[in-house]
Amino acid sequence: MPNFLALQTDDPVVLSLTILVTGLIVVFLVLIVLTAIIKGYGTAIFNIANKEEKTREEPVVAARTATPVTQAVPHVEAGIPGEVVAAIAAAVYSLDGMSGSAIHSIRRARKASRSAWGMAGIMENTRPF
Amino acid sequence: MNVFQEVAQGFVDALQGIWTSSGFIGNDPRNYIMIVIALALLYLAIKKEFEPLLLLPIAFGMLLVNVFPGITANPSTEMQLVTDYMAAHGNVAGNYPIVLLNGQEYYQIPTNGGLFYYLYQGVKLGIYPPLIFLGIGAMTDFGPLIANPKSFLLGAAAQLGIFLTFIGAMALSIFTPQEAGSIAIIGGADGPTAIYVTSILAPHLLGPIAVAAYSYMALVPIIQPPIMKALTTKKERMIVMEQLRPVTKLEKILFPILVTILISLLLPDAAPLVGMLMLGNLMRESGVVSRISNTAQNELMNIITIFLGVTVGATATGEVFLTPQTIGIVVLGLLAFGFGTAGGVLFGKLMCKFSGGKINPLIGSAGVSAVPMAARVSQKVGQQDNPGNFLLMHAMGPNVAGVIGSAVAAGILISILR
Repeated sequence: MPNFLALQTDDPVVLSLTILVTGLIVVFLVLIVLTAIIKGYGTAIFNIANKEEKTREEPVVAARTATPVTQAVPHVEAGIPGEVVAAIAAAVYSLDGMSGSAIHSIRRARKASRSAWGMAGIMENTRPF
Repeated sequence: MNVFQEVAQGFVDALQGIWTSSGFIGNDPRNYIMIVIALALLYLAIKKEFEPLLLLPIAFGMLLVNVFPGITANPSTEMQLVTDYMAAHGNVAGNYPIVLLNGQEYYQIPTNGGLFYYLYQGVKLGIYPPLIFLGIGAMTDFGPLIANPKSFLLGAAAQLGIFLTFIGAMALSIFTPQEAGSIAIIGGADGPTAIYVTSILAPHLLGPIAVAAYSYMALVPIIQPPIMKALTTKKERMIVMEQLRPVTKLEKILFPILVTILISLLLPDAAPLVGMLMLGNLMRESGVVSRISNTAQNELMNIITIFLGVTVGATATGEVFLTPQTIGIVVLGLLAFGFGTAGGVLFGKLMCKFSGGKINPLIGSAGVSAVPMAARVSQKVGQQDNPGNFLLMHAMGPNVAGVIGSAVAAGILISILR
């Protein structure tokens, strides 16, 4: 096991200052190195992901500008408020992006025989098998 | 003597036996003072809800050990004459090792230790704190830290309290360097780290240090705001920070692997804590072992918390706790928290200046770890001057960086002082 304290001092002042200087410098150095590493790979991954996203979107944008089509308005079941429609559209967009998926209709799900909590419990316990 | 008298005599003898073996005769007066302290801590845990998940088992462990000190008794070996043993057991030989002393044969009959003796081995051998870190890792989202890696610097600056407190403890001249290091780590505001370091450097101080560390962690919302306000201007506290960038899953998966490799290579003594923290986080972020991740976050964490709490509390016996050293630990622990908070805030001010006023210095105080309480305090103090300011996610970066920072500081203290 490494022992930094090669000086083997009995002087409490020297020991205290050694701990203060060594401690602060080492903690800062380790965390600065981590900062640099994370910043480096974070930027790299973020740029790669952005580039991929752009190349994926370009053909879609091109196709869209070439043949403008009127977006079909989804058929929404009566009684569903506009906010819910907007939330569903946002969820679909966050999952599929602009990859061509479109909402055709929105209707209430039929009531399941089990409650949503019950179903979630069953899914949680049976999914791995 | 008739039967009635014999029964009466037997009854009196039995009562005398119960009385002489009771705590009323065997306990030290200091045990009763500790019982009062334990009851006060139970009150704080239940009524005031000060870190009840930890304070309640710690306080109950403290209560139990001072009511019945034998609960922490070491296992021992009793020597009994073979003839006496056989006479008491209907001439049946016992299955124990025999030793010859002064020409007579004795059985070596092992006696079990108290319950807490066995549970305490997890603390003594440094097993529980890393397991707690596994659970913390599985519960922690390092996203804010990855999105803004500069937060690491605030997590480093807040460790100032540890090293300044070491100097303070040494200056008092009543602590050895190992004891001073164990007291100083209270400034990391991280209970498992404090226990881990103390169990290695000064195990006899585990009780007071653990109680001080967890008590101050519970008091973070009271200790930190005055220091934060004293060191910042209203204009600085009102700074609204830019929204953090989204973090990809790949970044989150790579983070625990890289941190483990780097810190474990550089500071092997910090590897058990950091390694388990990062293992828990990798289980969470990989998304392929959700069952294990859930267990680490819930069942395992809860079980270890119970064991750790009661056994650490049980180290606070009257004779260990009621000493001038404990008062020193309590005072120094408070200073450690104060210095740590000040270090974080002052470094936050520095970063604020260099970033052209883009960083709110209040997030620096969260660098003392105490997850997520310290981050909540940053949010709350920030909103007092600017109700539309949401600093919580920004403060979570330095907050989780503080966990890593205090583990690194622990590794340094162990390396130097062991």
